[in-house]
Amino acid sequence: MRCYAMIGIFIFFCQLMSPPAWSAAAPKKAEVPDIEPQAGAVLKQMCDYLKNLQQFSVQAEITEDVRLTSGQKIQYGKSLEAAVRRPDRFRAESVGDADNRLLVYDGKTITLLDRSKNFYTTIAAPPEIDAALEHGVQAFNLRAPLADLIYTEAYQYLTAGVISGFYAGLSKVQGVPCHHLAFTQKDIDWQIWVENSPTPAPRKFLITDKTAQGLQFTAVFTKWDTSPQSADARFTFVAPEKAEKIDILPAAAPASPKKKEKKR
Amino acid sequence: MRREDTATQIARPKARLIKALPWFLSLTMLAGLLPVSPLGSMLINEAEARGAARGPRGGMAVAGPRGAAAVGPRSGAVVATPRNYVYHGSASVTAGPRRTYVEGPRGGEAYVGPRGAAVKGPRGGAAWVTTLPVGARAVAIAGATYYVASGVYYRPVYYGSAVVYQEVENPQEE
Repeated sequence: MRCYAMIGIFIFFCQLMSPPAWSAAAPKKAEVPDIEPQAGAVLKQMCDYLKNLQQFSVQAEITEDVRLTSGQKIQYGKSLEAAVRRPDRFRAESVGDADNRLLVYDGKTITLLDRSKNFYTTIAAPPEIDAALEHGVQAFNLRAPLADLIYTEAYQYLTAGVISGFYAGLSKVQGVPCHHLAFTQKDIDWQIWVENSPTPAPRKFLITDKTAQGLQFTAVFTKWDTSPQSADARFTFVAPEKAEKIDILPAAAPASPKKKEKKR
Repeated sequence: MRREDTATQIARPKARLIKALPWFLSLTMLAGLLPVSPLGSMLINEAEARGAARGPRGGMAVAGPRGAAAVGPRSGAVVATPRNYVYHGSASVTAGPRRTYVEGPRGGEAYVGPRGAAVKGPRGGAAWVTTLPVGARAVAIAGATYYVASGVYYRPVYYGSAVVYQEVENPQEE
């Protein structure tokens, strides 16, 4: 009888220990991606280079495909200017066809401003760029197509979900000699062009969304500045006149931080 | 009846009860029938939730040991958990022994479990649109901007990195 009682207690505690059915599914063990050694080495070199830059600013020309309700595919463009000062300052401003937005992270909060509509919102964020961006993406579904390049652990973020990758050869982006790398994931294919020099910065980044009939996101990095003079004021948000603060909706569903399939 | 006989009669059922208790708890936990954890803090239910409150207009909020959830009287629903995870829809949510289940008066539902919280507003959450209907006009109500088109009110909110317009009931009637 005592044996039965012990079994009963065991089952009871098993129930307490087991996660609820509706909790986030435990991340499955990542499969080792099949990345060609040369492609992996160039990508790692680029990530290490960016990781060791304590501050930098970059300008990029971005194009993004959009499918209209009629089914027609068109392309919008925008200019992006981003500044990073590790470990806790980040700013990105984009001006383009469809939007005119600003994101400022000051080490405590992330503020989003829509300059066209004059609305802004602020969310509390962890005191470090990686965690802050991750929080924004996970909890509020912020779109950060180029965030993977900013993370300290960029290589892990970029290769998470990669099925295979290969070295496509030497190429030129705006006249700059680059290594051309191509990777595939379940839902997206992505390519990156890394400068073939002692300063291996990314020069072009292209994502093809296989789930959306091949819609593409392209960023061409036009200017890198690795010694910008960024004052604190650049990373401090000041609401424009008559700008109205509005709420932000939480993300609809969670995703495992390092298992992002889609990068946009 | 002798005194020791009485003691024996009392002791036997007590011993049976002690032996049967783990089975009883296990079966009730398995069946999802046990509303309150024997360990106290691991779960709460609507009636016994610490920090649970029902608003005058039917809104409901509940705080669990590791998170909190709230359902508004109309369509708003918010949740705060240690990681700010939010779940919509009921497909992956079921009432169980380690969770709190809260049902709002208009169909909203909230759950708080030991590892997070979940909410579902009426009709699965308020609808929102990325562009306002043609002819929508801005109105200022209580210092906030709303838009109204064909009698439907919208409030601007951020969803992801973009501003969208969430359908709300006439804020002036609240």
